[in-house]
Amino acid sequence: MIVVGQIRKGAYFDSVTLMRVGKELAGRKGVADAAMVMGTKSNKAILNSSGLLAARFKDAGDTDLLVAVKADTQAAADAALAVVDGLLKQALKKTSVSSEVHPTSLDGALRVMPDANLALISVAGRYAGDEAMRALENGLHVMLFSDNVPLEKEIELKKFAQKSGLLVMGPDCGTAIINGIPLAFANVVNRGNIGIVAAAGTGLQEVSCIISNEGAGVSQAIGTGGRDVKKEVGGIMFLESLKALAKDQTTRVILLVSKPPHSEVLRRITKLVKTIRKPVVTLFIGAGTRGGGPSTLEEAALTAVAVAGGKKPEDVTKKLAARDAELRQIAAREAAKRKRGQKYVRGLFSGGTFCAEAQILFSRMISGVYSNAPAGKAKHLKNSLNSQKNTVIDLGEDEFTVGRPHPMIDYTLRNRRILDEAQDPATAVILLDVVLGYGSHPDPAAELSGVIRQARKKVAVVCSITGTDKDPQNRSRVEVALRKAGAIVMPSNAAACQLAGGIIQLLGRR
Amino acid sequence: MTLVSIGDQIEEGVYPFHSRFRRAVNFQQNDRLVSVVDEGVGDGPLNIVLQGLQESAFEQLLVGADRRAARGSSTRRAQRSRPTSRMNCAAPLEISEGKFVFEGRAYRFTQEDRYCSTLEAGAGLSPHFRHNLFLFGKLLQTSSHPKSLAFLLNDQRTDNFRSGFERTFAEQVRYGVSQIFFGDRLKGVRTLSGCGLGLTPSGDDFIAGLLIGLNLRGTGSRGLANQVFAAARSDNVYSDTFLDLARRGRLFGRMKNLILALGRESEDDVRKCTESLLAVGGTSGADLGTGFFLTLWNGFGAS
Repeated sequence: MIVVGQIRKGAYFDSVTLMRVGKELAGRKGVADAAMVMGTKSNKAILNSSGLLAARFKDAGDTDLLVAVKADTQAAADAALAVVDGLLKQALKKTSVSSEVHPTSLDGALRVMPDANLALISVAGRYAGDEAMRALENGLHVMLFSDNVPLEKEIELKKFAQKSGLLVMGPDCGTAIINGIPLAFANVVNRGNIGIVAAAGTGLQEVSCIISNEGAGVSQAIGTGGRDVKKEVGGIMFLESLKALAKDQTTRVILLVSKPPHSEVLRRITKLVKTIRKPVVTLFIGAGTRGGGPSTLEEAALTAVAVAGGKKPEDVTKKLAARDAELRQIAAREAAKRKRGQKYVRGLFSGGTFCAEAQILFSRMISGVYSNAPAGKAKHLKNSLNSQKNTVIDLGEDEFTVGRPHPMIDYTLRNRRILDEAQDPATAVILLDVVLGYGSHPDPAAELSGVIRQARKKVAVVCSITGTDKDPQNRSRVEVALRKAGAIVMPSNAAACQLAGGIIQLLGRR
Repeated sequence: MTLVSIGDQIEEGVYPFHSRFRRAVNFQQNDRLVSVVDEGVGDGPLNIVLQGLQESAFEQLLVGADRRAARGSSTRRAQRSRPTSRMNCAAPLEISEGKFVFEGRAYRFTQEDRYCSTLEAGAGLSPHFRHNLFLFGKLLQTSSHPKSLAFLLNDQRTDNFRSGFERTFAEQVRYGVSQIFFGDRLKGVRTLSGCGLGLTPSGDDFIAGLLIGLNLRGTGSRGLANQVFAAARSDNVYSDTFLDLARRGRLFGRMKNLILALGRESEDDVRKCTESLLAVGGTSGADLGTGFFLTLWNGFGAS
């Protein structure tokens, strides 16, 4: 092994930059290890102990930056040192985005971008309302990512926005696609003529991705925050968004997605829909489909695509019925592999809407469903850490996210739970959602594959992927990796739930 | 640009330019750095906070100055080690009574603009403190940078240190910290001093947290704090300034807010202030927090 070193006099970089460049150097062909540190006595001792101390480092001082490379050959070592400058520049771009300005106030942001017409606000809830009001007063639409905004403040903001002809998406609005730009947790979808209004975050992601994967596209996708359709807020922004899409020339079909609104809000929405001359597809998850409309996110998205393409909604029903037959075959095959005593499904969701949809679908298929966020007929789970019979967990609930990143970003907690559930002799199926797009984990397949491979030895692992091939993670690539690990990958959350529920039904009949 | 605050440890004088970073311009006089920073960095005993600094400012900055050059030495060696020509053009920071001049523009300030970096007597004596300190320790383990010193609180986090250098670094830190708390204190401090990457190496951040913890214990621990500081001193002006302030109980805004939150009832406040601290530097906030937590949790320096 060859050890070479460089001393850079008086060069200071932050630790993240140095870590990043050190890692890049160590990952080069022929390089065994590398480090970039200040030339303190302690650091020299560490370099010495790890076999990285170059002879020339003895003259370096505390304020000198040391670059150390251990490589198989002199050529590999020299080549690594030669790229340090370039890597530092790249790393600095990543850590500080040199060409961009980072305003620290709304006023500052407006000075930099006076033509902006939308502000995305993500600050602590107690301050978010005031920031949102300042944005509205400056004539900006608002996407309010923050949660914990007081209800009274939300109402005040939305009434003010309504008078001013502006939109307030949120609070607790995690996703939107405006003029083709994905905001916060959102996916890269085709542009097209279907407009979406949603009071359900992952619901919006699921329908927009299915629309795009079917070859259609989205004009605008407006999130309102789940509280908007409650009695107190009165659906102010849901209605305003619907009106905006009704006027929007690009939008030919409107898709509405929400958990069941308050009856009064539902009445207002229904009244407004009747006045709109464009086709409107509605899905109020779990509210029943008295008019024969779609009952899942997937069905709603496919129906919107069919209508936008001049086809009949009945075509979608037929297509899904055929798919259900295929699912029954897969369910039978998987049920046959399960041992005696394996009889329950354990759904571990990162998306709240998916968790709710799973419960609604399961309530038609199996009994004894428990959840930490009950919907439909599911019962409340006493201890979210211990599953009970058929359990469906929303890992995005506060109890799991306080002090740690959301499960769409950090898979640690869910991975541990998958392995725990697989050890339970009563578990037959583990059901998962994998959400791609901006904001989500950059490489979910790498996080999940090992865990799925292990769990797959004892249980069936069924998952859905919400995303597109244009997403940074690439849906197809993730799907291939998860299948390779042994997961059964379904095209939608609804299909994954149908399959998981089908397996449990068959096991119950044993 | 408008003035937000000026630190209470900033004295009158002419401070030659030292270095420039994305959110801070540093000036040095007598082994002491004074920094002009944007609001994102926030209040500090030696910080001048200007609203809009970032938007007004400068290109990317890569390097700082060698302290020998920054001292204004006229030796050839010092001249050679001066940073880039653009930086040499930076004018000194001039501070006089009620006024300072930064980049050719004069700003006036009054006593009301001064940021107070000390805590009132009795901070940390609240009955909530121990409970909140425990919560802070948990948050360090769950929310800090994977390569921060929070691995000292949770063994599993040691897995984040993968390369040969990183593993040796983690071992050395563990050894130094065990010496501080269970062996030869000052040997442990010397082992940690200057240990790690970045502007203020992780070991120095940890020691700063330790000094803040000692200071919070009160006057009985001052002697020990002085010994720790003497053992930790180096040629790194960033670290030295930071450690000296910590030794004297002079706190930057985020740390002061955290200590105040630890004494209050609201866990929510503790969470928010912890998040704010953890956002300092790459790992600096977490490293400092780990030193602070271990000092208070272990009763280090208690009589």
